[in-house]
Amino acid sequence: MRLPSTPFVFAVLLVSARAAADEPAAPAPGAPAAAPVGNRFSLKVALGGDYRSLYGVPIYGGDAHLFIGAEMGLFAVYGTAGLTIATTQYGLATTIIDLGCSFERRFDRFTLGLPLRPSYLRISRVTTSGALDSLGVGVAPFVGFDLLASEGHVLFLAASMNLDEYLVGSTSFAWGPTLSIGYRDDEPP
Amino acid sequence: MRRHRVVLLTVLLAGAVVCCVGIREDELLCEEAAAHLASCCPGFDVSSLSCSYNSGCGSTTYPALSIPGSQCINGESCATLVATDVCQRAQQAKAVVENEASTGTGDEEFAQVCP
Repeated sequence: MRLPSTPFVFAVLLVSARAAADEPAAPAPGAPAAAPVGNRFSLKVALGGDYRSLYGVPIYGGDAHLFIGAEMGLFAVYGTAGLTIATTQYGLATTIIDLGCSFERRFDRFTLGLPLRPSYLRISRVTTSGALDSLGVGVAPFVGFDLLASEGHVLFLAASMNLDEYLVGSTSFAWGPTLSIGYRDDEPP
Repeated sequence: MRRHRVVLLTVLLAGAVVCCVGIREDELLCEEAAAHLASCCPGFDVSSLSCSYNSGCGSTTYPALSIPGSQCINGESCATLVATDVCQRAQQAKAVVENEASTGTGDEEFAQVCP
């Protein structure tokens, strides 16, 4: 499969996030002037441990995700890119690539989020040199907790549930949790 | 804008058709069983076991191991697979070919591999 180059995708996400962060929220016509809530650039990286079940086959692995976006008061929107390297119970190499977006709401030190993402799943065969692969769409609702925070630098934990439907050929549903630790860098207000 | 969305959707659909073969349950479970057998059974030739599904030209080829057969193998320990001759029977299992003209489901054609 030929995917857009990773630097290109990240550059698009970065430019979009910067543009969103530079635009102040417009007040509603006739509304009293509220305290301005500036949009702030935000970046997250996270590393996680993953479990998936596909047709009852257990898949274990690790993932890395990059989030680039903007915080708007208590809300945040990110473009996301992720790579999961895993193996099935008996050793079939598994790769998942996902690109999407994430909508998040902060509650003090907690965060609730809903990433939406198309993804590509590839499982290597052992009987031939080929692979089973498919494209799908999914969501990964999560709850996060800020462990440490200092001047816009945040160390956080997150637990998410991955729900992905793969659509090519016969449809297949993969689900499973991810536990992550990550770093968030918020631009100072 | 609407035109752009149509173009984007078309590109995504075309990409999906070109890039992927899909993930069938019988193929994945058969491949997983093959990997398990390869690690359990001394001398097991994994490349001689067919776990592919192909359809066309009036016939359909199914993986040599049925879904229940693969699930059974995946649930057994290495000691059990060796002791009950599952290794030997799996090595001899052949892909099931169903012709378009036949009326059966094909399920009855799978060899009994796992006790």
